[in-house]
Amino acid sequence: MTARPYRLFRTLTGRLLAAAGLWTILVLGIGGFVLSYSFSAYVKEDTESRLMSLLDNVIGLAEVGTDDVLHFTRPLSDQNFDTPYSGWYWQINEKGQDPMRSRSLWDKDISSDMDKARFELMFRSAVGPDEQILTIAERDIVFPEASDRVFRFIIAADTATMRDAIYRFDRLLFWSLAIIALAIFSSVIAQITYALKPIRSVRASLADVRKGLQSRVSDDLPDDLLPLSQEINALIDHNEKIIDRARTHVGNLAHALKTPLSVILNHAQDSKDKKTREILTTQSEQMLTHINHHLKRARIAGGGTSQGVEIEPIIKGLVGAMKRLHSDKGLSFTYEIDKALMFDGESEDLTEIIGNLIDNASKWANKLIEISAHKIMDSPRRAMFTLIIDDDGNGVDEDLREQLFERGRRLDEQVPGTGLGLNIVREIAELYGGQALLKASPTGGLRAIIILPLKEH
Amino acid sequence: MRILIVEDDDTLREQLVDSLLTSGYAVDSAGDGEEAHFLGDTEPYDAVVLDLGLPIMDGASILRKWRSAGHAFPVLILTARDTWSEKVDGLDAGADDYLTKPFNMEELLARLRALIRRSTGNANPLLECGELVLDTRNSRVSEAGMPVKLTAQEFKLLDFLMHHKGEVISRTTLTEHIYDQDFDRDSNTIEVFINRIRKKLKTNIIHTVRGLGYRLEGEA
Repeated sequence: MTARPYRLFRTLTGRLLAAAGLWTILVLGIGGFVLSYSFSAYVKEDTESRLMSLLDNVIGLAEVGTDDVLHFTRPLSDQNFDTPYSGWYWQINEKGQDPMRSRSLWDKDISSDMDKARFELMFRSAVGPDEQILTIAERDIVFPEASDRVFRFIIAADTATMRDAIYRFDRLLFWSLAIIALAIFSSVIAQITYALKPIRSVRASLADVRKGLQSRVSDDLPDDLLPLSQEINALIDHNEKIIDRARTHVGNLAHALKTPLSVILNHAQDSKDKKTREILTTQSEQMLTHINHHLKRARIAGGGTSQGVEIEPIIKGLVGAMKRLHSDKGLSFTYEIDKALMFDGESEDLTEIIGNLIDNASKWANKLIEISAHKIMDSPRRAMFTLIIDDDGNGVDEDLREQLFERGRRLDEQVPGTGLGLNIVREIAELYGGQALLKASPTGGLRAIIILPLKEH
Repeated sequence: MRILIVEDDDTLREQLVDSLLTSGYAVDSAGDGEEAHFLGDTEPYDAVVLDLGLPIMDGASILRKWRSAGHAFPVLILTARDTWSEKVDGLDAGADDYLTKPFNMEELLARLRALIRRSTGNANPLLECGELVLDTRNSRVSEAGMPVKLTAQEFKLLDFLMHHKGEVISRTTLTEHIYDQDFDRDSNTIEVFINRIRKKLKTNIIHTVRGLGYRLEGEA
C-alpha cells in the first residue's frame, strides 16, 4: 500500500462532518431568516399601528373653528411632539396654506405631494429632520363644518428605535444560531469519534493479526460490524488453507523427488565410470541440499500465534524417540520443566527445534542429557520462555560454535546429518522473535539455549 | 538372516534387494501395504525395512498391526518424510530406527546389522563363541585369529547361529531364516551345511540336540 496525502474528505470522518455541517448551516440559515423576517415584520406592524392610532387621535382632536381656522379642541398630551427633533412629529397640510406642525419639527417641513388625493390611510418612508429616517402615516380628511376644504394629516416617527430593535434581535439571533451550530457540529464530531471507535479497533486488531500478536480479528464488535470481522476472519482462514495447501504441495513435491534421487545416488555408487559416478553423485547431492533447504523453510509455519502448545509432552515424545534411535548409547535424560509451560506458536515448529537439538545432544553426549525450560521473569514486551539442553559430551570450541548455525555446516563429517539442523533451529526461533545460542555446558559438553514466545493463560 | 523390504518404487526396491542379497541376507520384498502386512504377519523375519508412503495401506498402520499382533522383529523406517514430528510418529508406531531418503546404502546396511544384533541381545558388533569370532561389520569369520573361509550359505547359517548363541535352533527355523520365500526348501540340506561348517572349524561348537535341532556353545 502506498502512502497517500491525508485528505479529510477521503475519510469517513471528513464525509460525515461535511454532510452534517452543510445540513446544519442550511437548516439554521433558513430558520434564522424566517425568524428575523417575522420579527422585523412584527416591529414594523407595531410601529404602523401606533402611528395609525396617533393619527386617529390627532384627527379626533382637530376641528375647524368658526373663524375657519383648524385648531385642536385640547392640546396633544404626548411630550414628544413638543421636544425638537424628538423623532415624533405631526403636520397638517392644506393646499395653498402654510402647514401646521408640531413643535418637534421646529421649522422643518415633511414634504407631501398635495396634488394627489389620499383619502385612504397610507404609509411611506422619507428622510426627515436631522437625517432621521421616518415612517410616515398620512390621510386626507374633510371636516363636515368645512366641506370644501381638504386637510392632510401627517404623523411621522423616527424608525431608529425600530431598526435598533431589529438589529439587536438579529444579532442575538445570529449568535444563538452560531452557538447552536457549533454545539451540533461538536456533537457530530463526538458521535463520529464514538461511532467509529469499533472501526478503529478492527483496524488495530487487523494490525495485531499481521504482527502475529493475535490469530483472529476480535469479534467484540457492534452487530452491524460483526459481518465485517467475520468476513475478515473467513479470509484469514481461507489464506491459511491456501498456505497449508501450498506447503503440502511443496512437501509432496520434495518428497516425491527424494525417492528417484535415492535411486540415482544408489545407482551412481555402482557405476564403473569414475566421472559418471562423480557427476551423478555431486549433482544429486546438490539437488538434495536445495530440496532440503527449501522444504525445511516451506515447512516453518513461523511467527504466528496459536492456542498454545504444551512443551512437556513434545519433549517427552522426542526423548522417547531418541531413546530408540540412540538405544545402543543407553542415554539418560533429566527434565526440569515449569508446570504447564506453553509455547505460543505451531506445534510442528517447536517439535522441529527441540528434535534437532535433542538429536544433536544425543549424538554427542556420553551418557547424560539435561533438559530444562523456564518462564523468563520480567521479560520486556512479550512473555518468553527459555529452553536449555545440556549434554555431557566433549563440547565445541567457542570460536566454532557460531559456525554451527551456518547452512550445511557440519563439524564432524563422520556422523550422519544434513547440516541443516541448527540452521533451521535458529531460523524458526528468529521468526518467532526468539533466539538460538550455543554455550559451554557446566556438564562439560555443549549447551543449547533457545528463547521462544510463551503462551500465557 | 532374513529381511523384508517394503518399498513401492520398483527401481529402489530392486536396488535394496540386490544390495541386501550381496551382503548375505535372505530377502523378500513387497511393493504394497497389503502384501507387506501379510508377509510380515506370516513369515519370521529378522528385520524389516519399511517405507511409510505405500499403496493400499500406509507403513505406520502396517507397523501398528504387526506390533499389536505381537511381532517383535526390528523395523527400520525408510522414508522421505523427515520432520521430527513424523519421526516421532513413526517411532511411536513401533519402529526401531528411522532413515530418511535419500540414504547411503552402506549406512542402511550398518543400521540393519546393528538392529539385528540388538534384537538378538548382542551389544558388541563382534560375535564370539569360544575362539570363533564373527565380525558383523565386515562379515569376516576367524578362529583363534585365523580367517575361516565360508561359502555364502555356510556364512548365513553360522551368522544366524552366532546371533542366537546358546539357544536351541530347529532345522525349520534355520531354513526359514536363511532362505527367502521363493526358495525350494529342503531341510536335509541344512545338515549338509552344518557338517561342512564343522569340518572347517578346529573346535566343535555346533552341538546337535537330538530331535530338536542345533545349539551353538563354546567350550565351558
